[in-house]
Amino acid sequence: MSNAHSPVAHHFYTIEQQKESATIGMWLFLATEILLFGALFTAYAVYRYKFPDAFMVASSRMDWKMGGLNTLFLIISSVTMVFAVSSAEKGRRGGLLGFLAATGFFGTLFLVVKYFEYMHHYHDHDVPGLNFQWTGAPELANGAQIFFFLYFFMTGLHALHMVVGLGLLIWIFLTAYWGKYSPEYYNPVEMFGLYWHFVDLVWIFLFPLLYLLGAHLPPGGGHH
Amino acid sequence: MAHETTHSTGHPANGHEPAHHSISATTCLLVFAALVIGTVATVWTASMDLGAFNTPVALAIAIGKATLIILYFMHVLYSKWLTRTVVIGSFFFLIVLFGLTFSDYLTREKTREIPALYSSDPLLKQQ
Repeated sequence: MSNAHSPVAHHFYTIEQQKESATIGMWLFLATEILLFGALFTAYAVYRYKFPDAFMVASSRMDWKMGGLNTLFLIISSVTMVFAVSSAEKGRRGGLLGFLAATGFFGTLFLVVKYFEYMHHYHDHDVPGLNFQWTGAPELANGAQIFFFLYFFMTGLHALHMVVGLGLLIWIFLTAYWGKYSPEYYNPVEMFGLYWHFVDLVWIFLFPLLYLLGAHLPPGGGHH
Repeated sequence: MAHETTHSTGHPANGHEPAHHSISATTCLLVFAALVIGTVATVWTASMDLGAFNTPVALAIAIGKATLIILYFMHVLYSKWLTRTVVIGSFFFLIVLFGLTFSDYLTREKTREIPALYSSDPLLKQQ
């Protein structure tokens, strides 16, 4: 029988069964997330099929260096998250706290870069519904506006996932600091890791599809 | 005691537990190197004019990076088949979403004989 301090909840037989259930439950949640972002990628594909040139020219207004830097920040934060989970598995509380802090640091850097990118787009009048002004070829204006709408929707939803992730990370960090996890029980750390890697995964597709469409165009190709 | 019996046999449906769950530091750093190289390759190939192949190349690299993350960082390589079914199922339905949408959009040009779709009447006309 499980006592009050056992990490196995009363409705599970073994700790393995509990862990397996958590993993499947987390992946079912991620399945809904894949389809949520999948619907947006579908919308992107449909409108890019309709406005291929406008998407290419509008995309050349992106700063791919910022996007690339953020890709690296997310990859590094994913790696530190893997080390955080393996520290938890080995019962190394110091390592767990350190790697969680590193994950949070690189996640925060991502959002800081994203903030400067959004500010830059705001000053460039790239925000549909707020101040969108297209100075390029007039026949591309509609498609470019749809591109920027999708850019802000997709990266905005992704950034929201980052904010939620950093909130969860603070909770995981605090509970780890209070010594809640052991080599037998670190489910929340591992499930949070799955979420964090998923958010990285989405960005891996967002980066080439939003930032790099016009990278082969001559410099300033979309600016007039 | 129920505790002893369940603990000794493990989960009846899955007799073989993986020896260790998390990946080694070496594997993790190799995957990290592959992800960084993939990112550099994405930027590099995007800077070249490959015509219609720019996006397929970018997507191929992205799918490769995503597969590494799912298999190694998200432990699907070491997970039970029930979990893998959920993972495969979610991407299956993503393909259904793309497939059904584009079976419509990619074939609209071929359906000009349907008058309601291409009528000059603005109420009937659809793009």
